[in-house]
Amino acid sequence: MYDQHYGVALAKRFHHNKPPTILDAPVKMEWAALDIPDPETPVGAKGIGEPPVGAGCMAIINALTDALGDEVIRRAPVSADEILASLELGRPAGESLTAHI
Amino acid sequence: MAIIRDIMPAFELFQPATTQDALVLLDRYGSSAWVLAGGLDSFDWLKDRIKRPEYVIDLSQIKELRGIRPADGGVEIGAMTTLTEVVRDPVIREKFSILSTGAESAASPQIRNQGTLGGNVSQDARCWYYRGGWKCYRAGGNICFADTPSAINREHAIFGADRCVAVNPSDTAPALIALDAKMVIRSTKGERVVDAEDYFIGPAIDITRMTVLQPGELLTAIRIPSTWAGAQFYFEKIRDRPVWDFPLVNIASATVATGDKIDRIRIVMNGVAAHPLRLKEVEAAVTGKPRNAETAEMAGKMAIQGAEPLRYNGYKVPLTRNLVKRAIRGVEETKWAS
Repeated sequence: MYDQHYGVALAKRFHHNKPPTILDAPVKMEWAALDIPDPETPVGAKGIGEPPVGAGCMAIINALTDALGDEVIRRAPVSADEILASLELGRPAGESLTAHI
Repeated sequence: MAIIRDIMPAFELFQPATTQDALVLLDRYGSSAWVLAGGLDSFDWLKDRIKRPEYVIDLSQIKELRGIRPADGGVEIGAMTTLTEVVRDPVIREKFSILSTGAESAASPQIRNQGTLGGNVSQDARCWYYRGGWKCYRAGGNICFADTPSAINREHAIFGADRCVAVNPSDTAPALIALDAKMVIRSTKGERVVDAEDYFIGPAIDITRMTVLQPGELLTAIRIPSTWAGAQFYFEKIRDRPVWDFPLVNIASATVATGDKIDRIRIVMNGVAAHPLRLKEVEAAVTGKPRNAETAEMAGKMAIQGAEPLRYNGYKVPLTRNLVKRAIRGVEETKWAS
């Protein structure tokens, strides 16, 4: 997180970036797997570490865009306050391609 | 051998055992002394090497500054009482529960075990330009970096921007003002008692301080009278994560009502100005009115009059309005959905 005019880092400490805590994790989670073995590995197993994070994030942003219209959010990260400001104003409140942190 | 120069600058540490010893030290060293309570605010400054006091006076050994005792129908809380103790005290939970709710919403359990009530109300602003050591008005310079068209000011003030748009980040401050608490301040010259409302100052009075404490003075206790004991309380803190974060906006209100009609009410908000705002006009307007949606609408609209949002903090205006509406109706939506 940098100041746009001076180019100096403002988020110097861990807490400035607000990493999610255990209390941000939902209590109820449901998941499903396709159960189709990967044809290209010897045992059919496949690592799934990072990609689902992006997919999950975009699924939520698609849902938000469906609710709010196309111009409000065009990138991640999204925070609740830009949504509230846009709803309050009746039109996109911020620049949709600027991260609102 | 490498000589490490990037260490916390040396200071002389005093750990007095009594309040009087501490006051003598504060009087002797004046503005070069730094008062250390829980350390949660102080160490941020010291470790970033931005504030370099020569003398640090640690109050942790002073037993008389700790503890919660009954006084005049209310309670007197020592300034060094930890937030966890305030949360758990049975008398506060029974009669002044808004203070325990407010204190419990502060930071995280570990911080509450160490942080003190006196420290929480006296804490400094969290504007990241100011905390990063940039020489703004609040730091003694003559510019504000946050109140510009390109600044990152999402967490800053929407009311009372007077050369400084930082906000007061305390959660217990609005609760104490709602309870009409009195701050007991001592120095070698004697003792004075200040209303909680007057304890917090804005840039118009002194832009470099958040409170009325002068060098040489110590906040020793906070007295809560019985005026609002057992009233209907509402406290809500809006923040990005369910734990740790400072409030984006928070509200504390105490209502005494007969049936549905409001007899007297106090509504205090924080996170929207350089000091906690007691919404006196709103209070006057809703006194005598029923606690229904119409009153809440009216109060909400009145509360946001004069709000001047900056580039990134426009969302605080609807939040302010909605929190005031909730406080009037006393909706118990203060539990986080988990």
